[in-house]
Amino acid sequence: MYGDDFIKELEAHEAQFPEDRKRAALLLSLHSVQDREGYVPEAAIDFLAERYGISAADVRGVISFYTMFFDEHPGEKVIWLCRTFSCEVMGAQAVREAFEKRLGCEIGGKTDCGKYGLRWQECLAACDHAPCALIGKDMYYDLTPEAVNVVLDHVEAGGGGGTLRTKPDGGATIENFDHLLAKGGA
Amino acid sequence: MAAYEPVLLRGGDDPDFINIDAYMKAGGYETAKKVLAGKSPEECIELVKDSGLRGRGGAGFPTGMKWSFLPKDSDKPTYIVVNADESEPGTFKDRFLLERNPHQMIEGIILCAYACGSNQAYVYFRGEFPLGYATVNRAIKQAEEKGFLGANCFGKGFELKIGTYLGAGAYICGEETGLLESLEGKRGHPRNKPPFPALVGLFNCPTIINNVESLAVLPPLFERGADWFKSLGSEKNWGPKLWCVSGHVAKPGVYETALGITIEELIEEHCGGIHDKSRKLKACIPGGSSCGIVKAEEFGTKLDFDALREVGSSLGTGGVMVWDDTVCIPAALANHSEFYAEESCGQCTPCRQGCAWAASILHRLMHGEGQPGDLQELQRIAKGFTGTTICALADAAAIPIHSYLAKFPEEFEHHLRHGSCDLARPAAAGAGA
Repeated sequence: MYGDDFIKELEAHEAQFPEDRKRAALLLSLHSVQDREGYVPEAAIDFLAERYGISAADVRGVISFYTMFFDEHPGEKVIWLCRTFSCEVMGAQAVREAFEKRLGCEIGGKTDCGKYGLRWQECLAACDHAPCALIGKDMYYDLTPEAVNVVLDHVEAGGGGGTLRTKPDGGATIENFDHLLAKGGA
Repeated sequence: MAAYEPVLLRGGDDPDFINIDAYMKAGGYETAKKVLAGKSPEECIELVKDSGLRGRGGAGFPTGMKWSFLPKDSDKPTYIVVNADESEPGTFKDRFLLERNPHQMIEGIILCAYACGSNQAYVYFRGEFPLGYATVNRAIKQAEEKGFLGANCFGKGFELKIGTYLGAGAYICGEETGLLESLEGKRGHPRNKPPFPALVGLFNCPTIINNVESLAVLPPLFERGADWFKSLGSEKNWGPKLWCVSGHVAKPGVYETALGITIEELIEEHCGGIHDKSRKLKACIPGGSSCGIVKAEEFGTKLDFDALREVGSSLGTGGVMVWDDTVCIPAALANHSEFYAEESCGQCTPCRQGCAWAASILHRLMHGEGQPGDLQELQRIAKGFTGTTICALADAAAIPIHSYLAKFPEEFEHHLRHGSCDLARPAAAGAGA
C-alpha cells in the first residue's frame, strides 16, 4: 500500500516502541496515511488493522475519537479556525464569516471543488496572536476579516505560515515564519 | 532588586537558537554532561525535591516527589513521558519552548531520565503542533549526532533514546493517563487512579510524566542549585515561571519572571497595560479556562499556587487571559462550556451529558431564550459532575461555572431578564469542531 516510502515510514514509527507494542504506532501511521490521502480510506483501515493485529473497528474507534483524523475526505487542505475565547474575543467569528464568504462554504464543510475544508478547532495555543488558524500544517497569526483574501492567496501560491501584518493603507502582507523553519539545520 | 535574568527564554528572539551549536554556545548541555559525570541519580532527585519545584503543567504537584514515587525494585523499564499536548485554553508557553528552545527541554529530559533511571523517553505533541514536532525531531537528531543521546550519552555509560509522538486533536490527551492511552495508539480515555503512572504507566511500566516547562527549567536548576531556585518567588512557590498573556493587553505574548509577581505587575510592567486606554480592565483568568475568574480589583494578587486560591482561582498553566469592560462574562462562560462539551472524552456519563447540558443552557441564555431557574440549574449540573468522573475534566468545567456566577451574578441575571446585553461582545455562536 502506498509504496516503499510509506512502509519505511511505518517501520520508523514502530521502531520507537518495544517489539510487542507496535500497535502504539497507530496514530503516527494514521498520520502517514492522511499525509498521502487527506483522510483514512477503508483499505487503509483494513491494512493497519491487519498490520497491528487489531480489529478494523478498533482502528475506526481511534479515527472517530480524534478531531484531526477523517474517514471521509475533509478537503485537500483543512483550515482550522480557533474557536476558543482568546480568539473569539479578538474577532474569530468575523474571520470565520470572511472565510465562509470567500470559500463559499460553511464552517464544518468543504468547498465544492474539494480543495479546502473549513473547521473550528479548540484552542490552538497561539492566543497572543489571536485570531489564529492552522491551515494544513502551517499556523497563521493575527488574522483579520479584511485580510482573509491575502491569506488564501498566499496559501494558493504555496507560501508557508506566518504573521499577518496590516499596512497603513488597509492592505496586509504575510511575514513568513521562515526563521522558525530551521533551514540548513541538521 | 536586581533585574530578572530569563533562563527559559534565554535564547530570546535568536532564530538560530533551535540549532544545537547556538544552544551549546550559550552553555547548553554542559550541565547534563557534568551531572552524568559527577552526581548520583539519588542526589539528582534530592536536588529537585530541595528546590521545591512544582510541576508547570497545571496541577502544581512537586516534581521531585513525583519522581520519588517510582518503585525501587521494579524489573520493568521506566519511561519518561513529556506532556507537550498544550491545550488548556489561553496557554501557549510550551509552544514557544518547543519551537524556539527545543534543546533546553531535551537537556531537561536527559537530567530527568538519568535521575529516574530511565533509558527511554517519549515526547507527546498535540496534533496541532506540526512545527514544534518537526523542530524537536530535528533537535533530537542533532543531539544524537553529538553523542548526547543514544547508547552512551556524553560517553558516560548512560543510555537514553527519545521518541516522539503526534496526537490528533483531543484536549483530554493532556490528562496524563489519557495521554498514555493515546501514546499506546488508542482512544485517549483517561484511566482510573490509583494505580498512578509512577507505578503502572506506559505499557503497564513505571512512568514519569512531566510538562515541557517543568523539564526545560531543570538545566538552570541543576546548574545553579536549589538555593538559587529558592531565591526566586516565595514560600512553596519557588523558581522561574512562564506567563502566556492574551486578550486586551497592549503586548500579548510569553513572559518570564519569578513566581509571585502580581497580576497587575505582569499586565502593567511587562505587557504594556490595557490595549485601549479608553477602556477599563474588568477581569482575568490567570491559568487557563479551568481557573476561577479574578476581578480587576483583585489584580494585586500574587501569581502563585497559593495566593490565587485565596481569591477563588488558581495558577493553572500560567495562561493569563485579560479582559476589558467590553467582555460579556456569560459569553465567556458559554465559550468555555462549549469547549468542555466538545472535549469531554465521553467515557463518564456525568461529564459527557453534564458538559453538553451546561453548554446548551448557556447557549440559550446567550440567544435570549433563557428560562427561569436556568442559573440554579447550571450550578446544580456543575455540582453533579464534580468529583463523579474518572478524570478532572468535569471538575475543570465546573470551576468557571461556579466562579463566574459567583463573581458576576448581575450579568447572568441581566441576560436572563433581557436576553442580551449592551457589551460589544457578540454572543458565542454554537460551534464545535
